[in-house]
Amino acid sequence: MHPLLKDHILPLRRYALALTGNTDQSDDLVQETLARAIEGAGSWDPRRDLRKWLFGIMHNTHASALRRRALEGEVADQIGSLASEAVPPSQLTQVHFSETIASLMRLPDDQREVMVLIAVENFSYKDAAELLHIPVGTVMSRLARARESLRGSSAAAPGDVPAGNRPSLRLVR
Amino acid sequence: MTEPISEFDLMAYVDDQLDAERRIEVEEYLSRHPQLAAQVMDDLCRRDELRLALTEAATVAGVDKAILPAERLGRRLALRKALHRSRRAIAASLLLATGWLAHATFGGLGADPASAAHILPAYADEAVDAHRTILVEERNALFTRSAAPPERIADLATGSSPAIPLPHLPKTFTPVASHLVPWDQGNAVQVLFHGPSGESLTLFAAETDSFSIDQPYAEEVDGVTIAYWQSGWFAYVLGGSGDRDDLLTLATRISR
Repeated sequence: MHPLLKDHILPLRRYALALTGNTDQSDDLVQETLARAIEGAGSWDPRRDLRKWLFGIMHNTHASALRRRALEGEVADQIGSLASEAVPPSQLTQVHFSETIASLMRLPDDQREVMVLIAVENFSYKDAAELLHIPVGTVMSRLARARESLRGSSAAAPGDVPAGNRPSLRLVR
Repeated sequence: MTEPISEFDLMAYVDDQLDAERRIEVEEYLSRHPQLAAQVMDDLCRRDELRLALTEAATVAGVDKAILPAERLGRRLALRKALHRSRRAIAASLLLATGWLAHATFGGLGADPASAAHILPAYADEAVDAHRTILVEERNALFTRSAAPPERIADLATGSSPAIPLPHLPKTFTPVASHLVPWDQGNAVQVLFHGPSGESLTLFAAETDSFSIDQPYAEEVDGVTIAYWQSGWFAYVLGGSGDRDDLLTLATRISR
């Protein structure tokens, strides 16, 4: 593996997995992200953080894939498929995700994205905000809500604190 | 007195976003609030679990189809880094030289670093050499007219599809011969044309290792007038002996 990229592929795959919840789709997302990065290599400023640049490309690639799929979905709805009312098998069954990942995957997309960037990939709040094109305050409020849900998902966690005992919330939405 | 510890501080503590001083303050605060400390521990624990679980899932996932594109991207970025360094070095040395010369000549007035900083790209240099060689060959009847259309040669240059796309010259230019020309980054295509009044003109086209969109720029190099531009991954050079402005006009026309 090329020395410039060798430390970034695993994190990109982690992020892709968290975004898609599916190994096939996450492989495709990594591939497409790299292809776009190759195309746009001329726009990379060597003074900029390569990891953040790559994650930003992955975020945008995923977002446009979602938009595309939503459009395709709308078209399918309009055609009015009556074929099946069965619930599609969960994407999660493709991998033996641990309960930890399962609870992560139950988070809404926007919270999961922030959670992975910060808790797993260790991005600063500011960098995460920049690469997601959202304000820092939004990053923090999504993160707080994600944590809240994860705490709730592991029922009766030993550290549960009644809300009244916490210092006042100073997060900006 | 230090600022009171907020929920934001606790969150930033878990996410490792605090400076050392604030971290110590948070730890002191947590030592007095065991319930909150347990919750923070719990969040930290969940964070580690998440990291491990995701890493494991990403590691066992499928065949690694990322290796080849990662290699390719790595090379592109490495080149970009090298280019960035050398551009800065060259620009700096040019600025120094121009500054010194201007200072020596005009006492520091009239230096125009911008015009001095235009650096001839490597492919344009190669195109100038190839242009001169083919003119010598032509004068001495050393080559046979190529039966293959230039597009066929363009296919051969990359050895794969898509080939190097060739711009269309006006019909008044007749292709006389097409060649593969080796250069730093593989094979380039060179097409020799005869213009309306019999003048020789060469088109040099090559695939490059960096993506860029550059407008045509004309200059005279070693007695050859060239106009060169880059369009995406491909670089083009027109070479001739005519007027610089005419060549630039032609280049601008066919580069669109």
